[in-house]
Amino acid sequence: MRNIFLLTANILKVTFRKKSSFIVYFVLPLLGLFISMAMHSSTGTRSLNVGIINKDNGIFSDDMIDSLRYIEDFDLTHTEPNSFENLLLDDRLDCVVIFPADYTESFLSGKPAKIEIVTLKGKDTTIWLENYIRLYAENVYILVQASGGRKEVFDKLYQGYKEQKLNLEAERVVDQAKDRSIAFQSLGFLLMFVMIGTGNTAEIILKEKRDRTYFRICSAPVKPGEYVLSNAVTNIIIVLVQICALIFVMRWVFKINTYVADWQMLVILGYFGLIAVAIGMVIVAFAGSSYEAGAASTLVIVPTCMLGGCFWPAELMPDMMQKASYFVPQRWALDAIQALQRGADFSDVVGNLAVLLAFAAALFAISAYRFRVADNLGRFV
Amino acid sequence: MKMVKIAGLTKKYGDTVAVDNISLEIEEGEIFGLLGPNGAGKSTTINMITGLLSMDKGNIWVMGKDIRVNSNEIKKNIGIVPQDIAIYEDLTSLENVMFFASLYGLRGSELKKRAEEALEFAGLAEHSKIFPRKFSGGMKRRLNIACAIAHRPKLIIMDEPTVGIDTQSRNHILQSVKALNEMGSTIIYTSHYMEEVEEICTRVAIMDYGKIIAEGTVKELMSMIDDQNSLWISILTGADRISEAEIKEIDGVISVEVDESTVKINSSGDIYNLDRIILYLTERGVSIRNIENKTPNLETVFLTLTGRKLRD
Repeated sequence: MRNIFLLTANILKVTFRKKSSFIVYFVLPLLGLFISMAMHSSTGTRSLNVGIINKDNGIFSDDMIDSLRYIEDFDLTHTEPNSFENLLLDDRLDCVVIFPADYTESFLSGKPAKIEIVTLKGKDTTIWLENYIRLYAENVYILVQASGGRKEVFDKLYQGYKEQKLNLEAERVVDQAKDRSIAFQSLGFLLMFVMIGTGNTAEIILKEKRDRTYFRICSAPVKPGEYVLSNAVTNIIIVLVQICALIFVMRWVFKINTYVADWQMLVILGYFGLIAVAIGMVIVAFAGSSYEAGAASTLVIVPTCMLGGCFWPAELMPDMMQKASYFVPQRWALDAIQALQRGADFSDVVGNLAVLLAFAAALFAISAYRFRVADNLGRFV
Repeated sequence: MKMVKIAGLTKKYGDTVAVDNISLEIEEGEIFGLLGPNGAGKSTTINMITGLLSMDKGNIWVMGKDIRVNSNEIKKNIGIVPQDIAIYEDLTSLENVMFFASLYGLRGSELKKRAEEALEFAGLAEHSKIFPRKFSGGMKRRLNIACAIAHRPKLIIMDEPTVGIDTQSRNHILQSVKALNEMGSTIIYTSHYMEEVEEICTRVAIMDYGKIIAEGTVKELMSMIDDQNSLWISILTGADRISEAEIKEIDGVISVEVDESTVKINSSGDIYNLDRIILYLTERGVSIRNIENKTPNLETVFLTLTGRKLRD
């Protein structure tokens, strides 16, 4: 126990005597978080650039377009059928709404034609627009049905629908879904930054190997397990401080509400931090050089973050990939956060924490076994 | 009392046999030299003595205790000066020595006192608050030693402690080794500098290709070749026209070593062949500057036993 304390204190002392370590361990992860916040905040608030191609020129399509103009989040532009593809490719439009030539006629005949929405940015981008158009069309269709096919009745009903006077009281409400989405995606990046920190874990031990101090420590009455444990403790301390700093900045500097209590977030990220440290330990146990460790970190971190849903919601992935995602810890951590965001009780995510703990235990066991094999030292003597 | 006893020790890396069935005994109070070229198996042997490497075959006892069973207890009584400098550049000299000594159970005022004594011994007392990155190579080597001796080990293993340093620091280290021995420590000293081993070691084992090819006091090893003449011929030009194989064909020649300015020849003491050697050289237009009959040394012993130089 004394050896673990001595080794831990020494690693912290040697590491943080260099001022550059503060930048590497704390400033860079915060900077990363800042960048991801900026990315997600901007995509979350920008108006949707909507191109309109109206082949109908009937009353319904004109009215629907007019009603869309009143919505702040849509920026409408009339577009020519032969140029809209280029506008989408050039990112000048997010999507294009195409009204077919017989749109108004089809409504009146009781068989509404389909409005086409074209986008290159996925269904997520246009889902609100689609919902609005569907709602408007459904309302008009109800009027068509109510008129029983009599044109004069319909005209009267439709005129009343358009001219209805409503006393509106406007109140801006907080778009929690958008906030949650920003927080969720930022947390995905946060997990990645915590994992990148494992590269530093590896670097501390590899530096000791390069400087041969590792060799001198191992020649003292220090058990391999004590050395591994002291490095793990050191890195867990660093990761926990990193996580506290990241939560503080997210909460109090960027004012992002994660919709998860800070202590709950700290517990989940703390458990994930254990895994990140354990991955670093496994990498360093098998890597013979900083180059190998760096390559191994990249090979582990990027694909598992992609698979685990750090960069996009896991639900968007194909079914097989979604199943595979349960083999990476990121998925379990993000699922726990998402469940808490949706109002789940903390006891509901205890299972996720148990899985995270199992991941960490397995990885620590592998690294301890590898360090225990004394001949591993041979390459460094 | 036997400080170290090794029996049938073998270590393999894949198909390469690094240490091949060696046995030796080191008495308490000795300065035992382990001499051999790079790759002979010296470092592998000492790493097994310190328990850092596992053995494939054989056994090692330190102070009568089996290293496989009492590894941690044995480590407490060993100080190791590794071949490469093993210190923290971001800790001061005193912090370095105190940290490593603390791993051997020292604490409090005793820890500081012993660390300061070790620095004093290494001639670094005035530099105790200086970071090693500001040290010369020789000073770093001395700090490397201080880190190994603060806990007053009974067995000190020094793996090539004088590699790449100036003469002054080298002399200081050699004197330190003698002083540590006089203070009661048994020393295992590995080197490929035969002059150092000749100067300080009470007994020597010569290793080559993982085997101990000779063992004894320096005098005993010299006696292995006292029936030989060692001839050093200084030349001005023509080294490229000399064939070692052709000289070896001259009656009585045992080994030959040729470089740009010297031809070193070992011959049987009972055969006179100087005239034929001179004739061989002059026939090939080699300009001879000087001929010297050298006293045999450990280098000559190694050359005779293996046909190779120690620094090959």
